[in-house]
Amino acid sequence: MALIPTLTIKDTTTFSDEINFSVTDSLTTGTPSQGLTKVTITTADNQELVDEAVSGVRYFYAKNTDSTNFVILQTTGSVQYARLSPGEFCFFPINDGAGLEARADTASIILEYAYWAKG
Amino acid sequence: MATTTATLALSSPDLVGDALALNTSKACYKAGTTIGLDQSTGLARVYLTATTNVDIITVPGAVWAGKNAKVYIANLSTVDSEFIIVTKGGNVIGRLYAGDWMWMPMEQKAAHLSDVEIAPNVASGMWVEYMMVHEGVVLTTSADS
Repeated sequence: MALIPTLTIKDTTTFSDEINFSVTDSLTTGTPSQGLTKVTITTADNQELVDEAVSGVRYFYAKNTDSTNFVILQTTGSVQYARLSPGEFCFFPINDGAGLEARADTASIILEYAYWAKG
Repeated sequence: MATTTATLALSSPDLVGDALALNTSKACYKAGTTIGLDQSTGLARVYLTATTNVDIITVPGAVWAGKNAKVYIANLSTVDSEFIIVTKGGNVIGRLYAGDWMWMPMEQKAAHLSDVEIAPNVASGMWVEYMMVHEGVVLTTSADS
C-alpha cells in the first residue's frame, strides 16, 4: 500500500525572487491506519489521537476546519509544540513513544485528521 | 502583500477500498489575522556528518510567543535506512526517513524550548533541506569573543 504526499509551497510576493517548489514522496504504509476522520476537539486536555504506546512511525495529517479558532497539537505528555490556525493543515511523522494529542484553545473546533503506519 | 501558500495533496489507489485523493491549500497568515507571513529563513540546505542533535531553528528569546510560523523539513538522503529524528525543544516529534518531508506549524513558546532540532542516525553524511516562514524572529545578540 502506497501513500503519495505532495507539498507545494508558492510565494510570488514576499521576496524579490519567487518561491515555488514541490516535494513528493512515496510512502509504504501498513497497519494500523486511521482513515480520514472528523472529530470535535474541546478545550479539555488529553484528547489523544495517536497513542504513544503503539510502536512504529505514523504519518499524520491534520486540518483545522474551524474558521475562527486555533487548535494546539502536543505530545501525550501535554507538551505543546504547534498551533494549527483556522483552515491550516500539517503533515508530519510521529515517532513511537511520542504520541499526539489535540486541544482547542478558545472554543471547540472540528479537526480533520488521519494517520498511516509506516510499512 | 506577502502571501505564502501551501498546498498538500495526499493520494493512494490502494490504501483502502476507496481511493484517496485529498487536496487542500491554505495561505499562511500571521496569528489571528488574514495578513500573510512576511519573513522567512529562505530555503536552506545543510550536510550533516555527525549524529549530534543540532538546532536548525533557534529560539533564543521568548518574544515569539503567540506568533505564527510554519516549518518545512526534508531528508534528502536516498538510502532507505537513513533517517533524522526531529525534536522540538527536546521533545521528539518523529523520524524523517530518506525522501520524507514534513510541514507543520511551529509554536514559539519559550527560549530554546521551541528550538527545532534534528539528529541523523548515521555520521556518513546526510543532506537536509529546511525552511521556516514566520512573522518575526528574535536574533541572537552578537558576541565577538
